[in-house]
Amino acid sequence: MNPNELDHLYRIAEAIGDGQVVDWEGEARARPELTSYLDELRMLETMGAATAAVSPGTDHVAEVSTMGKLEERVRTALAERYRIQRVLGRGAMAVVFLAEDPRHGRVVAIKVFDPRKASSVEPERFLREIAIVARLQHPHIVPLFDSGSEKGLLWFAMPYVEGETLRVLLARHRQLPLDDAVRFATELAEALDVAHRAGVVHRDLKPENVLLSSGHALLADFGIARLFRESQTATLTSPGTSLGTPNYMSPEQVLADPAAIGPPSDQYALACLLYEMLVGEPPFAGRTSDVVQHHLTTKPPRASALRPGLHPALDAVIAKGMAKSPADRYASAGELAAAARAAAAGR
Amino acid sequence: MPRSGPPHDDSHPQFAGSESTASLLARVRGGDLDAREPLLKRYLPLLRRWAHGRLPARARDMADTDDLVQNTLLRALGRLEEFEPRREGAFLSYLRQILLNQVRDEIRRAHRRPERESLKDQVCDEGPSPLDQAIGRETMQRYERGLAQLSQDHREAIILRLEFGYSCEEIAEALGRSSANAARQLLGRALVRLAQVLHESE
Repeated sequence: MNPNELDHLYRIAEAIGDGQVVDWEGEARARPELTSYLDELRMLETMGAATAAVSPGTDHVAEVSTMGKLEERVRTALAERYRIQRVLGRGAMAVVFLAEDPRHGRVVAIKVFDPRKASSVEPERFLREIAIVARLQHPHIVPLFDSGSEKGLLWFAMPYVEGETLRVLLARHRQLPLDDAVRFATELAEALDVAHRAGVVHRDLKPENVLLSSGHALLADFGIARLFRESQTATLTSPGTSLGTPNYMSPEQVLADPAAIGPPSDQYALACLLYEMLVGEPPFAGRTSDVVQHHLTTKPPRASALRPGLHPALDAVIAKGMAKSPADRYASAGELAAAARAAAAGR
Repeated sequence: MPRSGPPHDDSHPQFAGSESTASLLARVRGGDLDAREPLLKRYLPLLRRWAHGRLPARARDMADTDDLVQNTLLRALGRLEEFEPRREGAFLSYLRQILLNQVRDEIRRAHRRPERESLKDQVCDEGPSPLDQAIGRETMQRYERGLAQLSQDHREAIILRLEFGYSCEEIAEALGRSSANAARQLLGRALVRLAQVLHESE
C-alpha cells in the first residue's frame, strides 16, 4: 500500500473514531483498489455502532438516575413517618439518609438497602433479625428506632449521631494513644458481651462500623452482616472474596464455617482492631488472598516490635484474642479488654 | 469534630467519582483494600454492559451477568499485583480479557448443562448475542484474533472506542495522550492496522 492510499484510509478511520457518517459506497467507487480494506473498516464501524446500541447513553447517567429513583422511592415509601432530607453516605449495600421524625421531634439516620443488592433477603427474615437487634440496649451500641419493608425497600432508622468513624480517626492519626486504644476496646467489648449474651453476633466488626461520639465508641450494624453475607455467598464464589474487608475476619469466618462462627469471632476482630489502633495498620494487610491465608496460618505480628514503648504483655493479649481456634481465645470480649488494661498498666 | 453520618459500608464513597483510576490502582497495589470499592463502582456498569452485548440471549439474565462481571472484577482486583496495569486503558483491556474468557466459559457451560440436553430444541443454540447478531459470530472471532496481533497502544485504543464507547477525549486520558486530537490520530492508525491484519488473514 502506498503512502497516499494509507493516508486516505487514515482519514476514513479517524472519521469513524469521531463517529462521523462515512459514505462507504462513494468511497468504494472512488478507490476500488482499497475495497477490501474499506470493507474491514466498515465492519469495525458497525461493531462500534452495535456496542453503542447495546449500551445507549453513558453508564454514569444510568447509575445516577437509579440512585435518584431510589431516593424518590424512599421519600414516597416513608412519607407518613419521615421527611427525608439528604443522603448522608452511600455504601456497597445501602444508602444512609438524614431524615426528620416529626412525630418525635428528632433527627434520624435511615439506612435503606439497595433493592438490587438486597433482593435475595426475605423481608420477614430481615425484620425478624432487626427485631432481635432492636432489643439490644447499651450505651456503646447504636440503638435502633424503627424498621420496615415498605414497597420492596428494607430499611431501619437509628439516631443521627454527630461524630466520625474510627476509620476516619485512624486515617488522621494512624496510631492512637495507648489509653484511648484500650478504652475504645473496652467499650466495644462491653457492647459485644451484651450482644453475645442476647444471642447476637456482630460478624462485621471493623473501624467503619465504630462511631466515635463525644470521645466514646459506639458499635453499629449488629447482625446485619449475616443477612447480606449469606445472600451474597452465591454471587461471590471464591472463598475470601467478599465485598467486605477480610482484615478483621476470623479463621472460622474465612472458612465460612457457620457452626463455628460465634462470639469468639467478634473477639478475634476486636483483637485485630486493638492491634490496628496501636500500630496504625491491621495485623495482616495486602492482597485479599494473602490476608485470608494469614488469618488461617500466620501468627499475628508483635505490636510492641512496631511501636516501641508498648508493653510486650499486650502482644500476648492480642495473640490470645487472635488464636486460630475459637476455644483458645478469652472466655469473653470483656476478658480480653480486662487483660489489655492490665497489660497496658504494666501489671 | 467534623460532622459525619452513621457508619456505612464504604468509608469514602464521596471519592468514588473524583480520584483517578491510576491513583486507585496504585492504592490497591499498595494493599489499600478501601480503594477496591470505588474501582468496582466505576467499572462495574461499564463491564456489565460490555458483557451484556456478548452473552447469548438465554444466558443474559441480568442477575447472572451482574454476578459474572462482579466476580471477575473482584478476582482481577485481588490479583492486581501480578499484572500491574498502570494506566486506565491497560486496566480496562486487562479486565475485558478476563471477562471475555469468563463469557466463553459461560457459553460452554450453558451448552453442557445436562438439564438442557433433554430439551433438544433448546440445546442446539443458546441464541446469538447482540453483537453476534450485528456483525456475525465468525466476524467477532476474526476481530478477536486480529486484535491480539496489534501493539498494546493500538489494541487499547480500539477496545476503548469500539467496545466501551470512549470518546477521543476519554481515550486521550486513559492512554496518557496529550490531546483528543492525538488520540484520534492513534485510533485512526489502529483501525487501519487492524483492517490490514484482518485483510491479510483472509
